[in-house]
Amino acid sequence: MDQHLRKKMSTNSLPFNNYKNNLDLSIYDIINVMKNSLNQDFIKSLVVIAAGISKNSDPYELVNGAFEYIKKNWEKYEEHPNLKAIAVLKMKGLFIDEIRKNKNFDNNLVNEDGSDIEISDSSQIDIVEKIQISSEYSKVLKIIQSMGDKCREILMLAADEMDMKEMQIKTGVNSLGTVLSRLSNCRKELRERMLHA
Amino acid sequence: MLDEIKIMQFADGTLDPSEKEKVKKQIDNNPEYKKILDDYIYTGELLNNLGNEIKSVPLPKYLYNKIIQFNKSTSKIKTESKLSFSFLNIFNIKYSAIAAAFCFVFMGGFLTNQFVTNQNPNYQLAQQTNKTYNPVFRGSASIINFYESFNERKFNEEINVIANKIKKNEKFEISISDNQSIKFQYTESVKDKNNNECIVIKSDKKIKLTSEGSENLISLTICKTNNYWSLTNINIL
Repeated sequence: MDQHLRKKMSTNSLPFNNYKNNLDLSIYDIINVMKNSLNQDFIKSLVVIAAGISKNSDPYELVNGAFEYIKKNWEKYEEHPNLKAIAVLKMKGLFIDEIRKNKNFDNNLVNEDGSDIEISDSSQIDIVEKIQISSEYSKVLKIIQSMGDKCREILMLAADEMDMKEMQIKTGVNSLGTVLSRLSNCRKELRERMLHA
Repeated sequence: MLDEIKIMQFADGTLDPSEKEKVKKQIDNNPEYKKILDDYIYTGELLNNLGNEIKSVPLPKYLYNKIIQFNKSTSKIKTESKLSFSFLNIFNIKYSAIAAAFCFVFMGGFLTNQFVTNQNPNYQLAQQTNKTYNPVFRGSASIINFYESFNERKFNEEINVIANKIKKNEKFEISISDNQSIKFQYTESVKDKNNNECIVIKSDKKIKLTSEGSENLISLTICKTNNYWSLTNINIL
């Protein structure tokens, strides 16, 4: 499978993650404002990220929820420098709400030391079946889905070609170094899992 | 010992350019690093392709319809607000003589003797409407003196007689007030935003605009709407 994938990927000339670390924040913000629009590309990009947020719930439902929220508050968010961050935050919130509803949680979902607790959903929706992609990439998505929350999230953000700065904002991590080391470790884990798949 | 994060950044092409050479050398000299680099390149391409694959899947119909509907409604709102904005910007001297005088005095306090700051006629014309008798101008108090004595009706009557005949760079004389005629030169032919034919004429000598004696060249833009030429723009140069 590895070789087959490699062959297919070598035909793809798109560079991975065209990071914009060297850009000034102001220019970066301007680009984001220019990108601000609830068009198909934006929504499809949210589907990729939603696949990393939700484990066993419908990613399209999360995207739909975020879309409805932004639509309702469009006047407020129309010129927001990072509309995607708003959408990601909303999707995370919706996912947690869903789990709380299913498990009747009435307290917060953070450990005493402030770290995230692992969230699992009992509704058992197969995301890979929901997003109808080719069998090769279904396997990749399944492997990512079987990984921990943090890896799932950061790997799908990387799949959306997000730069490090954006990843930091969307994951809520304090430092860029943490984002880099998390991504590095998760990619190593993905590689390992791919070898044994 | 080379940090694996540096290798990842090297694989993704995001490493600081100043470090690139150093990291490349270390990778080239160590097969273990080379293997790590290959793995990062592999996962990078894998994730990139996965993202593209998901994005290539059509959205569910309900979501797709919502996006279309939303974009239609927002573009409609934008168009409406744009229209009302343009409408408010129309400076109709015919109905707002008092307001106009007020504006001139007000603007005179802030601006220099320039009536229109941007000298590009296309830019100026893009801001005008298609109606006749609504000249656009910005400037100082000197415009009041000029416009007070300017006989627009007479000017338009005369320009309609000669505008179709004159050629570029040709000079001609035309009345700007009840008892004053000055020489203008046809300098430019342009189109307004409605694709109407327009000509730009410039006075061949400076005209006294204020009682204090300040003199300026004047440029006028005349546009043809429904076969009628009328003044649309006044510039003091």
